[in-house]
Amino acid sequence: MSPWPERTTRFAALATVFLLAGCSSLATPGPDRDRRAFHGPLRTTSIALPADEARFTAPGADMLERNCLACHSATMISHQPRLTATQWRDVVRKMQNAYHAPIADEDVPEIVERLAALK
Amino acid sequence: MDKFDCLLASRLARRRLLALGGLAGGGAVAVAATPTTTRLMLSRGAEDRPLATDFPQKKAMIVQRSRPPLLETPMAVFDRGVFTPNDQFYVRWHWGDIPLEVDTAAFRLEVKGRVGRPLSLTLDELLRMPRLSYAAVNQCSGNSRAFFEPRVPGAQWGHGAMGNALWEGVSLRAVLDLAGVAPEASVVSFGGLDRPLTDVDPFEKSLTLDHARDGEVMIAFAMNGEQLPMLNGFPLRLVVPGWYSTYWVKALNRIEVLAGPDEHYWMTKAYKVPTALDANVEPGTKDFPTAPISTMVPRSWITSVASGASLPFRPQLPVRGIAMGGDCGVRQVDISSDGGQTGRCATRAGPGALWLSPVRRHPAGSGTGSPDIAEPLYQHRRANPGDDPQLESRRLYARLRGDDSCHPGLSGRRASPR
Repeated sequence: MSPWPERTTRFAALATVFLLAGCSSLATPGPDRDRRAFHGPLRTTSIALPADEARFTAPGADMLERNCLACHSATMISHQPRLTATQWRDVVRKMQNAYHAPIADEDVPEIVERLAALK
Repeated sequence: MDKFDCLLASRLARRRLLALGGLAGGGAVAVAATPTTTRLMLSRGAEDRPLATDFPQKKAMIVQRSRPPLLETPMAVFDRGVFTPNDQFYVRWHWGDIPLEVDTAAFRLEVKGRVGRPLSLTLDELLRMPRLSYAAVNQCSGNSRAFFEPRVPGAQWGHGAMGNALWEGVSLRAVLDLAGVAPEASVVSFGGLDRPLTDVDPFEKSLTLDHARDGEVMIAFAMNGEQLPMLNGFPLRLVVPGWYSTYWVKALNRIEVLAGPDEHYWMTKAYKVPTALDANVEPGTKDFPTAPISTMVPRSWITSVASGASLPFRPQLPVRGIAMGGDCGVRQVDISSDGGQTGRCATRAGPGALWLSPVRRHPAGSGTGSPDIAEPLYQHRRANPGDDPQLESRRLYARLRGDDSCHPGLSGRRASPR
């Protein structure tokens, strides 16, 4: 036999330590007893998101930027797997119908064509 | 908290904890300098993604999408500890208009609808209420989507749209009781500060009243002992242990008690999954019954060896990883070096615990080991009557599938004041 049982016991013991530590700290909040419990007030916070610089470089970039980037980054599109034109059409229709994206119906064929040609 | 709460927290932790070991083994390679891309091994091979360190309150995150942010936790983070640090906890928002600033003095949590006394609670009022605290895994409904075969549209997550944190806050039930739920109430709806850019339903999710009042669902103001990062839902986030993150509404600022079902888009159209066993349907089919996604399923990952890594041969390879029981605990993780066909070996991990075991290596050639060990192996073993002496373990495995008995005596209990 390999030395597993012995190791397993050791690691199971370690696991128990994790649990017990969590348990006792939950039972008695206090700076000395528990580093995890929340003691402070909630502080007013503001953040700024980094610039979103990703842009389309493929032909028809204008069409895609005009219709897609108001709501989400170009990376949402560029990170998709290769999809068929039918799949892309479903996506564009969903953007129109479910999310009310202001995409003109007459632009949909070209958008779908450009999307399907990206990969 | 008193002793009962300690037990409660411990049980909850057992049921939902991400588990992780602490000893050296394969060892994740530390990130050198600041790479601007990272390589994910997905269902059709490697794909590169930006790796950004400039999102506020975040260290290195995989950028699946910049706006609205979809930031993935690198797998190496899960190899470092049982809790996912706040500054590398994944991020997922739906709308372009997300909260970037919250004035804690002006913020209010509204409780309205079918209640006897509508509330407008300040954060200070919530902080003064009795607290509860437990560890729970938060996992996006779409986690691991990029491993689907065939691939499907949507956020192309690897495995890092998840995290485990110690959540602290007040019980949703206590807040509902304060407002006084009307007799006709049946559903509770939750909304946050994020807003759609168009005239569509805001992102709102709902739970049945019984679920909302189970004493476990939490309005959290802290994770891992600190206030929530803004991108993770500061100042308040709903925590629905055992359920996918879509219900864990971020920047929670309104709770509405309804007399009937929530008919809005985000409950009736989005986040629906097939009702078939394991939600499995034929690729390409559309005409199947669906239901709102709900409880998570058991899963496990190897974290100490990167997917696709090639390692020098050793007769035994220590492996470390994480496991979660979904809406239950983890009693045991089985690991295998051949997809579970032969040489399967089990290691017992304590409840809600790490697992670590050497895996026997079968040298196919000489000098190098096969890299197959680096793949996530398999998730859990189904009960197999007439098997070996580990009857108890097998029974618990059955429980992982959502048997009511995995919630012994918890539902209906009140969290005690500390």
